[in-house]
Amino acid sequence: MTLLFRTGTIAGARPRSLDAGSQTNASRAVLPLAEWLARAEDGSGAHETTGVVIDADTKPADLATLSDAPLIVVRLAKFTDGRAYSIARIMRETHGYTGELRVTGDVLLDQIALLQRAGFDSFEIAHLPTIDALARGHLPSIASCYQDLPHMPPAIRPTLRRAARSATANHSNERRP
Amino acid sequence: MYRYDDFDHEFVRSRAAQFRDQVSRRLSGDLTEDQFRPLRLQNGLYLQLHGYMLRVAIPYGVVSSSQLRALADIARRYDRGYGHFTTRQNIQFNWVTLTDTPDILDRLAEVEMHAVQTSGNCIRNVTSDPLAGVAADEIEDPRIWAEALRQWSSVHPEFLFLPRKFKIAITGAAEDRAAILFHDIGLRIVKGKGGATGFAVYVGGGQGRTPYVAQLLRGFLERRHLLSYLEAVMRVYNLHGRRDNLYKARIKILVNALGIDEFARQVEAEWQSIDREALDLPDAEVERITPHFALPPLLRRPATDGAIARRRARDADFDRFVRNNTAPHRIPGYRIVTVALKTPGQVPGDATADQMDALADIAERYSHAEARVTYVQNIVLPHVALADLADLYDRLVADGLASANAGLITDIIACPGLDYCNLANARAIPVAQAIARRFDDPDRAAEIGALRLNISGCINACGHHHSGNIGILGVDKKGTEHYQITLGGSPGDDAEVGTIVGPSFAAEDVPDAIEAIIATYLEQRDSAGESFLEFYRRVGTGPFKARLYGSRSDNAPTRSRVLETTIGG
Ligand code: SF4
Repeated sequence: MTLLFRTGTIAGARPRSLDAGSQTNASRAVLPLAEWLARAEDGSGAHETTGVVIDADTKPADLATLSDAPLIVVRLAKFTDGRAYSIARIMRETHGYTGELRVTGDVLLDQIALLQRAGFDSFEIAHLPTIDALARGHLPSIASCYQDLPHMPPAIRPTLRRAARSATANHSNERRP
Repeated sequence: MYRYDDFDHEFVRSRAAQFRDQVSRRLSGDLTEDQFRPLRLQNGLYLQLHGYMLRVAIPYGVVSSSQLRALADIARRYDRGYGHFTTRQNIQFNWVTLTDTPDILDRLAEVEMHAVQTSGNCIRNVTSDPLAGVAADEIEDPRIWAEALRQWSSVHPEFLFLPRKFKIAITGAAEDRAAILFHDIGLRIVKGKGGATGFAVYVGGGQGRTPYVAQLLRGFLERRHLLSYLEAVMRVYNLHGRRDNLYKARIKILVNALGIDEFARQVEAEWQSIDREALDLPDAEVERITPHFALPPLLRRPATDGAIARRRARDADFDRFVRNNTAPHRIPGYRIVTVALKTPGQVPGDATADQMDALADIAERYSHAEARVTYVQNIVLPHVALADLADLYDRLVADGLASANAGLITDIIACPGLDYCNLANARAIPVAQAIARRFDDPDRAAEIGALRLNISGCINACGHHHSGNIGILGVDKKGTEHYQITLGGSPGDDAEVGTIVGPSFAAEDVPDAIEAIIATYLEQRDSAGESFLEFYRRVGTGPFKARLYGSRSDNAPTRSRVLETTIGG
């Protein structure tokens, strides 16, 4: 059994739904990177309706080409592989990716909030205690943080807020009391 | 010193609550040990030889009297009545239990302390100059930026699962008292053109099995860009550092594989691509932090004191204490005092709960309730009036804390070694104690002069043996504890990794070997003004080798050892 746990839109800092999958992306075809890139080059535009799955060692240059994908799935071979976090931030913050960013593989309860803050918004979970905890509404995280990343829990010290980001990022205001 | 606001309080309380939940899920079996290990390490909890050890951060070394009392309380309630100050401005409790740990974290949170990221493959407790803010040779107080880095690195979501641990040190003084060149990132506050201050950024230093002195990554970084630049460095390391081999995973290996120029190019490219304005520390936050580090209100006190001078003239011990353990303060009439936790025979860096309480009282009475811990495992009282020195000294004598050997041969750094650590090859503490006893004649130690002697129980080098003028490394030689000696290491601005002098020694022969090394130096130095390190740099290992391994003399090791061919066993 696997569970697709979604946090809704990338603007959402809190989980909104716990369901069998996104309506649009749950059944969407997902291709390995090479095949997806081949589609992107064939001129049909099919890559814009097809998801892509990548590993944590994907080259930064390849990441730059993925922004048109409606769904990017990052495979986490081991929960201690921190590269997934950098990939998420590069996609969201450097390449401005707004589609669904999903993590799959060794996804465990204690990393979900961190993965969210890095920019992931959906989580394919096979670990049973994690599924149980989420079903109980238990998502451990720290209520406050020191880094003003675009995807974050609500509490940050006002003097740590970046004026530049608040002015330009339209999704940020509603989450900041 | 820095005081928490509501936000910081909320953060550490929330973190402790999170760990309590993780511990309960470990106990219920929801988390396997493999899944739990990185979580407990990120909260400073190690599994050692005899059980759990909790490493508590003393960020950039600054600690208040009330914090010292809380540490004493923890030592009494949850440990065996003592703690161990480490080489990275942390304190370790060696006998805690898993189930008590959440309570200890709560107790720490009450006094604005934590164990966040004192272990694990993440950014560790940021260390700094123990004399920050008071040293006469300071360009600018590094603690403002050390505190900014403490906050920035705490639960930074991108950098909690790095290839390996990551250590940052920062100094703002002319003399490097934080060994920044032996850190993954070393930051030195420098003056740029036009007089504005910024950072010289060094990268890739470290001890361990492959010791490197850090290389210059950027000669001048504007202050305001510190955080965005470090994000770029961390990201390049996180993405490209090796994850296939534990021993090759530190950033120093990546820097050396790529070469410093290519590494710098990748960092620069990353830095150009990220939104610096969004990641740098806002001016408002710099302005909020800065006043926390203003000097306490120091009353005008006389810059010279006749009574102190007279006491020095008639009391050789007091005179020695003033000479070795005090340094000039920025403000005339004040001294910076080192309390050396190095009474010969003592475990280097250990302090009992009673001593911690005594230090808390002493700091309150004589140093505006503030103390510092140093990477050489001593305590510094930063603001002591010159006129109070005699009273302070008498109080230290009464508490058994007046060891007058700061910076001398018996001011030894030693890691816990085989007495506690499951990675150790050999014990470090008894060797340190034996050497300290051998050289406990203060006149002799004074004659030898400035000397850094460091001992590690294994190649992980927590005892900084590579950077000791004399370094001692525990090695395993066919199942017995042996010790390899290195010479010429230096932790400071002239940082250097020591050179192995020859085959290793059995534990009982180490004091004799050190004796032989010291005798060589004393007999052959140019003058009393030539320090051990200067002498070594002039003559190299030759004379020491001859004395240690050459034709028999009173100090030579036994013949069987001379014939051993494998260095270090
Ligand atoms: S140097 Fe080795 S023995 Fe000493 S504390 Fe570190 S890992 Fe343990």
